[in-house]
Amino acid sequence: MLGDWYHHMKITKWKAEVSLFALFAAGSVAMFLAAMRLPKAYNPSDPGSALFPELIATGLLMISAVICIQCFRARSVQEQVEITRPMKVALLLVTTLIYVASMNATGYLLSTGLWAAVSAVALGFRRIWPVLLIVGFFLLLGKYLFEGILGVPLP
Amino acid sequence: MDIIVSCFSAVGHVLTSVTILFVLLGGILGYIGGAIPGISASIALGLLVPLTFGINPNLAIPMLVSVYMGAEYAGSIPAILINAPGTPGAVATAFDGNRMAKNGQAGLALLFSISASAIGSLISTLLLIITAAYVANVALAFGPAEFFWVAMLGLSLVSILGSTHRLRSLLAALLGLGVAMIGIDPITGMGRFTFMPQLLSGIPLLPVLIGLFAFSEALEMVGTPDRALSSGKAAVIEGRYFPPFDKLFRIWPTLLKGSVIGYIIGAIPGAGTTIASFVSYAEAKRASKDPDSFGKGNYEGVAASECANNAAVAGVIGPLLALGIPGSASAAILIGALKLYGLQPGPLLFQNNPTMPYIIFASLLLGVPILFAIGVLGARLWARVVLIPRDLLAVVVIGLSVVGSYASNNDMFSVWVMLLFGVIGYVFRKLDVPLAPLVLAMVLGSMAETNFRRAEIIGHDQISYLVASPMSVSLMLLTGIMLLLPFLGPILRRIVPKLRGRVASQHDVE
Repeated sequence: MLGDWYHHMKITKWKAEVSLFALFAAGSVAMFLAAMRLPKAYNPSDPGSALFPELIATGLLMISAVICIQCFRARSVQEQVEITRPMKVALLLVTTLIYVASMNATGYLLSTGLWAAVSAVALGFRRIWPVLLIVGFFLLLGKYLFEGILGVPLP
Repeated sequence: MDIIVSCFSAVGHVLTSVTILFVLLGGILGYIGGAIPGISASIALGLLVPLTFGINPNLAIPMLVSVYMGAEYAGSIPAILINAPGTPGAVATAFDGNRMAKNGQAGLALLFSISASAIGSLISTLLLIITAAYVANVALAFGPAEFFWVAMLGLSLVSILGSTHRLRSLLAALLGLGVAMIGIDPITGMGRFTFMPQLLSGIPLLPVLIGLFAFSEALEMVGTPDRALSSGKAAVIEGRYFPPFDKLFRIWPTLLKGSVIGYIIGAIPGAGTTIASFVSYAEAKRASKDPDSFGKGNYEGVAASECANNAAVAGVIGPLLALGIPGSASAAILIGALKLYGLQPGPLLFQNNPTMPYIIFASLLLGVPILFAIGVLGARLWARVVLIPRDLLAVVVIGLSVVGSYASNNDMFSVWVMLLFGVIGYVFRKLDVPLAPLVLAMVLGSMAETNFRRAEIIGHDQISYLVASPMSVSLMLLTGIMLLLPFLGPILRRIVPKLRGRVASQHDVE
């Protein structure tokens, strides 16, 4: 069971779509309420900074609702969203989040080096030394390119 | 006279060894990007824009243009060799190109694609030079009302064309508009939806683009089996390898038509290279004496598709330079790059920085022989690039995305924005929500709002000011038609047969 989930993950499409577009609808309501609190313009001819956000929020709400209804009506089709190798996707995402969160504290060289090596091994590269050599080469190249040539300081 | 002076000045600037070197480097990087399935022109551009920070814009912009061209040229390589188009514009190339490769003519198919790409680029660049300055001159007379309608037309075209999921496209465009509203209000100067100080300058465009296109694609790569590797090897290029000029000369009408089709369709925001190549392919098949041979390894099919998708590159650059409208995600990235250098695309670019548009034209022309040479000389190498493992590529793309986003603004906030939009992009890809309208709306949102409010202030709150000129009315009508098109289509399909039935029954009675 776990083995199958490790290789393939299937989500019922209409449920995923209804969830996403309901989220959009909720977001558009929040946007509309936030736009209502925006201050009025000084110039009486200026329609104000709230007009466009309010129009956009209204459009978002209407279209989200229509798509939600469309997806719900089409639920009998039983279409599925397939994610191959979901564990690897999740692993890469989590390691990247940790990498970005730690970058300021540990610096570019250490955090990027560790992340790249761990990710490469986690994705299935078994020969460690070539991975370390390639990662090391690209790290130093990146450091030299950004800080040495382009003058962009890295953390 | 000014145009001629600017042209000569630009040619003089571009024909230096340093610029040629940068165009060559951009071409090679674009080829690598385009030759790898999954790395489209927009991803290659998004990843490479941060690498041009600190470089003189007169060198950086030609390099980025060359990356764009190179990626479109090379998109046909994996399409021909492993039937996996490197860019969306090369889908139609695979129909005949891959069949030619299976028949042992991989080298010939690649040569046809590279030669047709060069011809398409050349013809469309000439069309661009003729038309862009004229359109920009016309647009110089535009006021806020006209610019508002130009932005609305761009938004409506982007949402309607190039996607089968039109409502979802509209939704993505509205989301992009919503994101564009964050930051300092362009008229009052007050903060809007600025819940944290970093949001005062708005959501940075480049990290959004890198996240939506590069990061989400990297996640997609990890979640997709390696077709090239699992199928063993790509088709091998053997034997004589020289451009087949005699056969190309025989199909010159197809090449000419493909170039014009590509240029025109490329200039329509949202239509892009994919539609251009399909239309050109269909036209070549229709006009052919042997249409049944299409899809079975006809070199004319390869040439028609490649000629059009490369011609579309110059077509996309036309409205970008003349009106400031990005017709595709790649064009949006180019706009982002120009803005990073303090250059505002649009008619004023021709007035304030008259050399820059012509530098772009000259680099497009210079790119033609350079990219042709890169393609012909390096064909065997590009065939190897196709086989790079996708997992390794994903790690490289994510690494570049993180460092590139950081470098774009020198802060970690940009990296978090990139990650957020990367995840949004991944979810959108899985649920068939197109990404391009979101990006284009982000670029056009500010243009639409600022010009609408300026028009209202100038017109003293009279909405009629927005339709005061014939140009405004024309643009408004076009926008209305474009927005109503998806809803009118099904209604017309229902009504027309009923009307026909009634007319027929009346005839019967008579």
